[in-house]
Amino acid sequence: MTRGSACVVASLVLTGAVACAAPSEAPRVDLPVVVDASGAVPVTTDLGYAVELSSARIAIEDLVFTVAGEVHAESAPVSSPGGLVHGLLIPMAHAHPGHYQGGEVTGELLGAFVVDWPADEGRELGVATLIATTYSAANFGFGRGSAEDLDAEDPLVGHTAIVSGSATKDGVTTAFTIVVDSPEDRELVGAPFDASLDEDAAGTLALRFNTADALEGDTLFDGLDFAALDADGDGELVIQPDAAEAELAAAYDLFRRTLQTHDHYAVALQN
Amino acid sequence: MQSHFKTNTARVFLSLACCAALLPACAGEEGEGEVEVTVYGEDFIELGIPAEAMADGWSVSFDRFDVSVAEVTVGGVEIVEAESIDLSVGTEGAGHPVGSARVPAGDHSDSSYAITRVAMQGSATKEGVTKTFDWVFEGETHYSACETTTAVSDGGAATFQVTVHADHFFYDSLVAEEPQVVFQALADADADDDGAITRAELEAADIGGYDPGSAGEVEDLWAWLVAQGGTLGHVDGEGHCDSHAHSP
Repeated sequence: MTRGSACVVASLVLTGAVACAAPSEAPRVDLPVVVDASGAVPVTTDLGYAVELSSARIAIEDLVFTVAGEVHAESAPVSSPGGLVHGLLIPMAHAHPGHYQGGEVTGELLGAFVVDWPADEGRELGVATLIATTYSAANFGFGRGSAEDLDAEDPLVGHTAIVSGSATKDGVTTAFTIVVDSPEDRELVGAPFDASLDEDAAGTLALRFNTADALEGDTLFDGLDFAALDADGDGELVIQPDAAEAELAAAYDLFRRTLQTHDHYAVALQN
Repeated sequence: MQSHFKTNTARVFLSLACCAALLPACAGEEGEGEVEVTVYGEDFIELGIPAEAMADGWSVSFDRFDVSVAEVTVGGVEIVEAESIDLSVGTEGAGHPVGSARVPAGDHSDSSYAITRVAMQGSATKEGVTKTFDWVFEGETHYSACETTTAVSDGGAATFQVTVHADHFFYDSLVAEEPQVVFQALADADADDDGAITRAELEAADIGGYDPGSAGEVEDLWAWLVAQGGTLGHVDGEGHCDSHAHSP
């Protein structure tokens, strides 16, 4: 042990024994997390399609809340006094390749969930526990539908998301279904969550899925030429992983990228 | 896991915060020592990336891998460094020495540096097909809050190594915990099939199945390489740093 590290340990021991003889828990608050479908609205894409969402079933897991995430200020460097203390206290949320510093996790709702926007509007996913502080972002993992939790015949089994709806342009409507598989352990980092919580905070944490990105003005379905992709012209389009046709494969890649960005998710404290 | 959070993380929050107030009392040692800065590209740059380390059967070798490192700071002392180092030249694990300075004694964990330019020339091969590349990245990336401690004793010597991970250029994800190391998409970008993958060809190629996370501006393969180039820098092997890129 170096002299410096020995000194740090000594400080911690002494402080714990003397100055902090009676450790107290940080103030916490428990708040239910509910599904919010208010962002699943009809949109007009960059290619002029009017898209109405019928269903976005997405397998997510382990929702965590951070005090300084990707969408806001960078996390305090661990070399700063505050950063050092925080780094010791709270596990850092890393989004790899490991070189990316995410926010510091100070709240969580663990578990695996399949959420259906908008059908699950108001459904409670569970109760999150958060340290009372000011939040700026939320993260969660993209999972896969499991036969243990779903009907064995459920089409979501083995997949991350199934998004369906209709896209209309020039009087032609295409019904679409898009199946998405996220990479294993894929985490979404930096969904906006701006809230200052004290231990008396009340209300619910609304988990929102947004078909439009109000900040950048784009939509979940931008770049998809639904009618052109419907090669047989039967008005029904299925986009799924490992498509043989280059156009469908490119459309899949594009949609998966968009679905996996933090632009289309948010958490909000609602009273 | 939930109970762990409730019982441990929350409980120690205030108690350790309280303890932190005492830390400055222990800071500082007397005297100073010599810190040598090295830059090392590991076997992947010196010997190449073998097909076994790639997920799609390509192998990559570098004829040249020039890295410009600047603003190396250890223990509050900026260490003068050489301008550009060709990391493809073998060092048998030692790395390339680029500068040294007298630094106050103590355990320094506040080191930082910048990579200001990367120029790489080489080739990738699979099943008799060879693609060459000659790419220059002028963007500057600052690395700080690095996960290492440089222990300097009075009159002693220490080393601070900037470690460059070239395989990151070939990652298929900017956010995955364990991205795959692949080359096929870059090979496919050789639109005129002349064997040389140019910047223009990369700029014209969509990133396809690559996963940029929420980096929406990364849409073509050149932008992809630029983004991955901002993750090359490490310290003392596998130590990570906070990184902040600046456009040229």
